[in-house]
Amino acid sequence: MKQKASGVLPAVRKWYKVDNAANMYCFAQDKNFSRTYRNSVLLRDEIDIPVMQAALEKTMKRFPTMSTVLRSGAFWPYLEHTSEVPEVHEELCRPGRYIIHNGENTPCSRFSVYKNRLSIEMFHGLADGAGSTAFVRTLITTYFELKGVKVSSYGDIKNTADEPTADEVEDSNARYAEPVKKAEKPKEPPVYIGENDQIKDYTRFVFGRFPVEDVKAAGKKYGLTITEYLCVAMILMFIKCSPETVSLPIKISVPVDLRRRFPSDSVRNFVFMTDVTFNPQGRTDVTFEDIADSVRGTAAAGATPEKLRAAVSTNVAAERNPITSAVPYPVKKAVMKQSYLDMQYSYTTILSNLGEIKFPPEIAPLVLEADCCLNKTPFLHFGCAAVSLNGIFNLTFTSANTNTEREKFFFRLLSSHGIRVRVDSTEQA
Amino acid sequence: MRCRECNIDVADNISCCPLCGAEVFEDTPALPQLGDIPYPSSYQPYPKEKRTFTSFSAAKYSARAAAAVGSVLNIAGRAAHKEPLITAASAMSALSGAVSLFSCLTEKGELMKGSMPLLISTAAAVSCALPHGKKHTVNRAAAVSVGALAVMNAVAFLSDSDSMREQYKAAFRIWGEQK
Ligand SMILES: [Zn+2]
Repeated sequence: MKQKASGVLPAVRKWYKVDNAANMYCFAQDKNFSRTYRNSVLLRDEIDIPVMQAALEKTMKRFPTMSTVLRSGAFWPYLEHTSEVPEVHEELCRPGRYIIHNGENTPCSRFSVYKNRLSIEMFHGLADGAGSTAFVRTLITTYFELKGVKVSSYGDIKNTADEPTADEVEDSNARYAEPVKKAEKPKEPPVYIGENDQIKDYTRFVFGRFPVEDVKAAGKKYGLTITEYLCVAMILMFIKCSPETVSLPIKISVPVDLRRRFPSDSVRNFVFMTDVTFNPQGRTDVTFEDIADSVRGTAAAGATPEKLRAAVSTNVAAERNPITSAVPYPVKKAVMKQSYLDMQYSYTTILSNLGEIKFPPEIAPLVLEADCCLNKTPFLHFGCAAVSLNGIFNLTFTSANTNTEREKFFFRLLSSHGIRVRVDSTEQA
Repeated sequence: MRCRECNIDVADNISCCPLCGAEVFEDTPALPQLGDIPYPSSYQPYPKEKRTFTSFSAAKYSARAAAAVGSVLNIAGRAAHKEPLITAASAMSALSGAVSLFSCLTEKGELMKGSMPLLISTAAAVSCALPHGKKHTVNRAAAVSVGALAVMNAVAFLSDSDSMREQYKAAFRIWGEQK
């Protein structure tokens, strides 16, 4: 195993290799689409845009890999560092717009403000949920510092007064990969995809907020973790809301933050997709208990350190293969894009749980809410992401059409389990 | 406000439930500590993606177009054993190389940001340089193109401009980390 990357390279470089887990996002993007997600924070008071811009400038310097432009090299995509800082603008358009890389100086992130809400849309090639959460925490803390709030302790928040470190910009996938003999992945059986109508330039987010303690208690009744509980509810939702009987497995893809398993300070992509799967086999009388009994413990079993390390090693080995490497970029892009498309039909939907976001005690009362939203893709028209702040879980469904049957079923189910729920939407009813 | 059908709290400023569309009522909320998440009541259409077209873009696209036309002519010429076609192909690839070189020299390594013209013109030049019939004209033109590319690569690599060298390394990274 390779040891820590510290001291090998400076943190601020002219260009960065795209990390292993992000290569796919870079190959998959084109002039109409790129994998983008969105983090928002709701502050107590209306946002001062010039101060937020100043905070962003400081934060971008602290996170050099976020301050980059996607480029295509002769063999691989890469990220070129830029000193240009995106403009914080007022949000007037419907959320969920892709970040398109047109080969010029398009930044890989977008920052918008609406009243007291700041939204950050980011190209997934730069960072995963944990990386962008680290960025958001620094940005908000810096904003309040510029507004005159004295912060006593930064804790694990990255301070703009410190220099970025090599560990923060490293590709942790490469650090933890072990040599593997054969970089081969087993062929995935077909899964249930579901109805996926898409309205052009339309994305709707439905935010469901509920106390963490409520969902924890509901999960405990069935012996499930919070993530498992939510997956079971989603699986039941797909079965009950499908116009036809479901005879294929319903697979909820759940990203696992590898930093929790392998020590890493990387703010880039260090995530692996595991899944919670249930096959109703055409039955329509499936109950919540049936699914709970079937999936209990499977998420943890699929994410043991051995399995995760083997999966990371396989991915890195594929990238390091000299034959793969020597294939020119356009050819590689065509092949990788096809494999990305195939991958999109290997799961029913995603449930990305970023966990808890914390701010310093002086700032915590000034930040009311946080949410994370997956943007739709041409393939994934329905997805789900969650984050918790101040004891409130915020689970957001992304949908590319106006049908709310699934969300209705899901939140009514939670409510029937004794969870107190509040629902908001980006579209007026 | 609450939706009695869904048994959920909803925003204060709406009249029907965002999930089921039923009328909402002013009941005591289950989660009084939660406020509205502000979103505009109507949205503007997405702005058109800005695609800047600079002299660099022009050079890049001309290099690409010249190389592409050159390659087609080259293949056609070889298939039909038509020497003039192959000569024209070589001229095209030479033009592609020259445009790339000019762009590289005038834009301080900007070309490296889009390595496609380089790759395409290299491929076109090499294909034209392959032996065929009366090679003289063909080889001469192809040699100009290959030479232009060689000069361009050398300039990029040996240049004092850090930015240019970095761009070169980034664009031509084959495997492993940058050293
Ligand atoms: Zn309702």
